[in-house]
Amino acid sequence: MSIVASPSPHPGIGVPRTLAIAEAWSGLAGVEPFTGRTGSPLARTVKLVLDPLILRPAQNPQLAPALLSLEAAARLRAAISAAGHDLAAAASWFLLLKRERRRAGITEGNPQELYFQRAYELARLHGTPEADADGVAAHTLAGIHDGTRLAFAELRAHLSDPRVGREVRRAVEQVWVAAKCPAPAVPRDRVIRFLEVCAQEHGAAEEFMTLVKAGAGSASAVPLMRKGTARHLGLTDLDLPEAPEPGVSASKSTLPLPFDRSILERLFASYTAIADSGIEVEDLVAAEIQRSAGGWQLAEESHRVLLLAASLATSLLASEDDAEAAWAERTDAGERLLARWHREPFVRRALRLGEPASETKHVRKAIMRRLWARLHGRELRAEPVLANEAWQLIDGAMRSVILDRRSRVKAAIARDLLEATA
Amino acid sequence: MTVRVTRTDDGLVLGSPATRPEFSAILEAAGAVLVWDVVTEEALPAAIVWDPVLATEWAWQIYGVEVTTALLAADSSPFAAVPGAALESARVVARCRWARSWWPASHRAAVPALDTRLLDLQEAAELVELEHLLDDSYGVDDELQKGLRAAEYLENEVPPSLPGVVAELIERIRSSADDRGIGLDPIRAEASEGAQGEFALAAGAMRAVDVGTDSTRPIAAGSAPLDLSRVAPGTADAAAEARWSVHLIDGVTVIEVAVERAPRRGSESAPQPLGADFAGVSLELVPNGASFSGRATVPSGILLTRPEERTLTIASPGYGDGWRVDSAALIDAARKALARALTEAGEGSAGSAFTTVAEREAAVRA
Repeated sequence: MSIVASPSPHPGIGVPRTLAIAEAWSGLAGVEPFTGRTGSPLARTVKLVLDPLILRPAQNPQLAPALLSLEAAARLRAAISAAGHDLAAAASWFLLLKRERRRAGITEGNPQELYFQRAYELARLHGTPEADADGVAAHTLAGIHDGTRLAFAELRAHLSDPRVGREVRRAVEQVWVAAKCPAPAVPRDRVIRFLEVCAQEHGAAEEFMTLVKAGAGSASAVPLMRKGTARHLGLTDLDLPEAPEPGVSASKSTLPLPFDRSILERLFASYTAIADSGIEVEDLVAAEIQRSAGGWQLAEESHRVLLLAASLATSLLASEDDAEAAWAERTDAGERLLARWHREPFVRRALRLGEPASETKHVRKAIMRRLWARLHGRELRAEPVLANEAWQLIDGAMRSVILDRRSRVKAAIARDLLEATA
Repeated sequence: MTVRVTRTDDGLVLGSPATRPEFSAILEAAGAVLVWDVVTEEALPAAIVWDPVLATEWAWQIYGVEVTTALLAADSSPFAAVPGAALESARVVARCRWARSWWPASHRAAVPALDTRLLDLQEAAELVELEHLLDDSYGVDDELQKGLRAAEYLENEVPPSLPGVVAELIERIRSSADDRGIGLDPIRAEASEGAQGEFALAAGAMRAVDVGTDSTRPIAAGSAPLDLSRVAPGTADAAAEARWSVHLIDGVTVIEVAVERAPRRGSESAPQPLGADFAGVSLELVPNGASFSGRATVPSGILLTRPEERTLTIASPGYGDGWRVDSAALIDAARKALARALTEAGEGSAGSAFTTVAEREAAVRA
């Protein structure tokens, strides 16, 4: 299949960035491993190679928006065409890396995720793969899969050691007592202003950074220590959050709410994020102890701001027994979340899915929990939220909650192939 | 083709979406839901757009480049659409999902069941091509996993009618899975079992006693139409009626209810039970041979209720709200699709068939 040819320009409206990329891409040769069947680059090609390594929207803001001016579109096409040779070489390197992976019997990780950028780096360094390329590929792979994966059993054994357990308890107690008095509360208006623009392209990042700099997230965490507040947000089952235990076991089916998790359970929940991080067990545990005493029990101010923003945006979805339902704030972001919620019955009917009755009430809590878990995972991966990702994360948490509800229903009605093989 | 644009409070609508959920094949894209009407069989979908700016990123791959202006302009002028490069994959995924949800498989109406493995296989193969435009791109790996499992089965059981097409899909799934490091994962079965527990039958429903073979002549009997929107896919025969009868057994008044089971293919396990309500008495209908059936003792006074109060409703657990699906219309649509599928199977085309591989296989089998 080929790309739609000869697009008409849209004076005053602009050219979709994806269209400009696809056009430039269709002029390249030898990039099949980076290309989908429709002829456009794969989503991962754009995310891992084109954006960070070639177009670099952070440095070239005129190439960033979803709709480009005619001039910017031309620049973008030129940038991709100019990288054509490197991209073709990178594609060859990717195939080599994959062949080497098969040869070495490696099955962990997603090859596209892990090798796309490396392949491009190799192309920049060595050009098109030549006679010694197999050796280079093998060496690169050895570096990526270096076998230092931290086994969960090791972490559990560490925390189960009575001596370590005593130390962890003492450390937790210390940081919880010493938890700092945060910055003065940031006026609610500022958060509302952010929620009015966060789903749009302009102004969102700026408003977000203002809140981060003012310490709005930390300040907003204070009421969580008031009776019932964190419970209403679905983050704990207790009236007041308690300091975490070291923990001796963890399992997916019995994981408590975020603030009620032991140190071991917290690390277990985001385990894939840390397994390959190369961080020592002791450091991992120390950081988690510190995190548990932070505002919203997270370390990054931007993440606390996000939870604050989400708690306000989701107040429209609060159940009636939630005190906040009464003074829910109507913001653009809140309306968008509500609209997503209202679209759900239409979709569920079209897909002929029933409704798990018990869950409708708790959607807000589920969103807050999901968002917390994702932010926690990001902290462990040392991948802080970018200012322009804020809305995607809030909306994404809600979407994920909705999709989970659907899969639960599906699992209950389908009992399909998976079941038949069990 | 000219597409109409309508502005609404929540965004805008392109074309005219089907109004009935059971005729809507949908795909949730970023910023819009695409809706194909399975009755009109048009290639281009309607779209309910909730975030026009977000939708500009992919809409040109469905409707052609003129759609960008239509999404962002302040007026509501119609635009000229041409099929975009992602249209075919998007339509096929939506149709597979529709078929899984609404295909009216029926012994009575002679509508053959679709093979769910073929649906899994084709849906996954095409979904991979749509990763960039989905509202939820995280789900792709899960679908790929399902497709891979289906491939495993189908490899040893290639439908004789479509060997080339299925082999190509298997090859595509394997290559996509390989690119992403996805293998068959035994943990998945466990996960789906865990979720199952949360969906118990509503409390208070009377557990039915086993239906014996000693049925006496009924004292009263009747039937009631079935509303497909109130039962889960793959349970009741699409043309079935629910039958009830009241018996006197050893001095005890007993009600029996039965509904025919839908034919199924590709999924060997028994479907979930159905719930029944007869004049306020709840009972559970369990799969039993060719039907779902259940029996419960009732107060003898039930025979004193006026005939119009002897209503029987059937619903799967969690399917409280129905909207009266017209089964006959659904069966008509399926018959039309099967006729078309038979022609397309004969042509042997792998590429641009309108019907899904599963429909073609079923058409040939029937």
